[in-house]
Amino acid sequence: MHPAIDLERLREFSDGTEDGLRTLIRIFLEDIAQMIGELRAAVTGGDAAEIRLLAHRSAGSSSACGAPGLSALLGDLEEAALSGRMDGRAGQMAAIDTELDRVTLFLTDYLASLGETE
Amino acid sequence: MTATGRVLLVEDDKFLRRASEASLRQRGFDVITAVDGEEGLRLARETPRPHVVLLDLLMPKMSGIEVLRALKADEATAKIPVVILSNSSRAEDKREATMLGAVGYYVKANLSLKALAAHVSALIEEHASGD
Repeated sequence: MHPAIDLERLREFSDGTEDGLRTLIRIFLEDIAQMIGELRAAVTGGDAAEIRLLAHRSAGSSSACGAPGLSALLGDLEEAALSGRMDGRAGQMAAIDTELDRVTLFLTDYLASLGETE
Repeated sequence: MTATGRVLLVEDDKFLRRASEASLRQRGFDVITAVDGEEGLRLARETPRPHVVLLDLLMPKMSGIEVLRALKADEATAKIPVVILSNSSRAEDKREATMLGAVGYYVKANLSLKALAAHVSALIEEHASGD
């Protein structure tokens, strides 16, 4: 199984400082949970256009931050919404939630290892 | 490194908007943000105008390409350097943005906030020396 986070990519994305890296991880953890929550609601509602936009947005954040598995799953959902193939969306959303849990756990542990106390 | 200059960041992805804004502010830039293309175009036309526009492509209400066309068609904003931030690595998307006048194109999966800040700084210096 691939790592939840590609740390080399995460560091490359950051501004090159440890403070910047901490800030980046905190913002990502806050925002990705919210964005995927909005995506989950769109999937439940079956709005393909909204699913496409939210999946696209979350995939961009995830790829920038070095979460390749999460980004790939979100990209698959975006593609399915774009092509109108929405029958498997609940299963795709469940896989995204599972991967989000892995990413969150990894980054929370990593933040703690950097000396994050909040 | 500290710099000065006004940067308009047009990005509907909340995380990328906040992360880029924090990084640019840390380096001393004055950053204004917009969450969709319409708001971005409105803010670009307001004075004082931004020295640089960072522009996402796929956004609600008005796409980045539409914003770019509008900026370049307006004498008041045509000279503002525009840098694209996109999920797309397709050569045709980059080509279209470049043909329309974008001076940079970053794929988000490969984006470095450090490199982006350095690029913004260079564009502002270039703009200042050309005045």
